[in-house]
Parts: sequence; C-alpha cells; structure tokens
Amino acid sequence: MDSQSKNTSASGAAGAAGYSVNLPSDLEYIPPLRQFVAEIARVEGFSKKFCFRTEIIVDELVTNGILHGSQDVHSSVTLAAKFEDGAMNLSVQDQGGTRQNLENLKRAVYSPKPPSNDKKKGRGLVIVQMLSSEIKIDLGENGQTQVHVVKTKDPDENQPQREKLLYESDL
Amino acid sequence: MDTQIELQISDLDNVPHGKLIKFMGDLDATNVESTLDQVTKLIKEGFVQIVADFRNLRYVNSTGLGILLHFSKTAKEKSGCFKIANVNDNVYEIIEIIGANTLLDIYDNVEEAIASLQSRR
Repeated sequence: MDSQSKNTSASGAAGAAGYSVNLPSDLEYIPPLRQFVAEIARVEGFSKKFCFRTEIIVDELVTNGILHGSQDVHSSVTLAAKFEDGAMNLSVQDQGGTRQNLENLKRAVYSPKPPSNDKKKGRGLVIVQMLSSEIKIDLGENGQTQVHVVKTKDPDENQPQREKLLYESDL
Repeated sequence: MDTQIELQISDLDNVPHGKLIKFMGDLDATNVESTLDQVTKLIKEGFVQIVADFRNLRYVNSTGLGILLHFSKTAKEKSGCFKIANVNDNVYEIIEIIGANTLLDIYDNVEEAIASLQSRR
C-alpha cells in the first residue's frame, strides 16, 4: 500500500489511543485496516472476542461507506477510532451516496431486519447493530454521512489492561 | 490484493456427486467473487453433495455469509446439500446473529457431516 499515491494516511499516538485513517474507496484496503483496528484493541487490553467483533464492525461499516457512500473511485472514506474507559468509539465518514443510499442506510440502522434468505447482501448493518452498544448517523452539510458506533467491553470482561508498547518507558 | 482465501477441493469417498471443500483464510468482500465462481462451477458440474470444512476459516463477514446461504440454496434446488463443519466460535457468532444457523446445516466435524450424507442414500 503506497501511502502517498493512494492518499492513505494514519495517525495515532500511544496514550491518546485515538486513531484516524483516510482510505480510497477501494475494498482492497479493508482487510489490513480492520486488522489494524483489531490489533489496537488488543494492545489496549480488550479480549480476543472484543477484537474479533471490532474487526467485523470496522469491515461492515467501511464496506458500506465504499459501496454506498462513494460517488466514484476518487472518493475516500475516513475511519476514526478511540479507545478509552473500557469502550471503543468508532466513526466512519463517507462522501455521500445517492438519496436512495441514504434512505437505505437510515432504514438499516434505525429499523434493521435481515434480508430474505436468497439475497447475497444486506446483512452488514444487522451484524453491526447486534455487536454494538450504540449506533447513530450524522449527515454533513455537503451530503457526507458519518456513522458513529460505541462498543463497550463485553459484560464478562474485566477492565482492559493496556499493553505497554515497546517505545513507552516506565517513567 | 485479495485477502488470502484458499479452497482445497477433494472427492468424498463413497458419496456420489460429493466434494469436500476446505476453506482456509478469511472470507470477505475482496474474495467472495472468486469463491462464488469456484463453488458455483462445482455445483454446475453436478457435485451437489458438498461438505465445507471451516477448521481453517478464521473470519467471515456478511458478504461471505451471503454466498454461503446462496450455496446452500443452490445445492438444495438441485436435490443436494451444502453442509458446514468445524466452525470456530467467532464465525459461529456471526452466523447466529443473522439467523443463518437455522438455515445452514452445521456439524461439529467433517466425519459427522459426511455420515449424514451417507445416511441420506
């Protein structure tokens, strides 16, 4: 992945536990991105199950942003993740799809139901709903769509114990 | 740059029109089309008694689940079946969330899945 030519950037700092990634509207970028966010969750001390669920949530939201919230291949999707107080706050912003895309998104988020069994698509936000504690949609002035998700630690988990990164000192 | 997914396909002994498919890696939106092509080709060739071994399938998302349901439906339409074995807990949770556990034939291991095929004959 060429970070400059592909307009992909990531920033984050240990301790702040906030990360932001901007990626082109191309599905190929999703697998490393979802694994990156799951790895951050692991480092932040969350359980393996929490990390797997995080990976799924990131995957489904970014896939939706790329497939339904992008006008063309030059569009981009921005993901921001923050881990604090035993919870993950995630937001995925796209550049806005068609009016129909937006109506479909609202319906999927606020009154989700799985599609009929013969449909290959349409289950992503049902999964996100089930794995998240909160989900909401914000609309930007220029048609951008931002989906916010909060996922608190699972009830059977202890408070996450953050792993120390290599470059962090004890002081 | 698809996510790594590999399908290892072999015959099923004593099961006419049978194939064992070992899924290895992650099944997601970057590789569903190639997976769809490979399994659809088998079904079109008449191999409609299929056992899918998920022992090494680490991850599946909603797009991947969509084609698993499609395989099951297509095989049943041809008087066959698409059975799944060795599903890990994380993948099973996703299957369960969308209610696909009631639609897919899921077995603890490959031997049980194959035995169920042989008992159909």
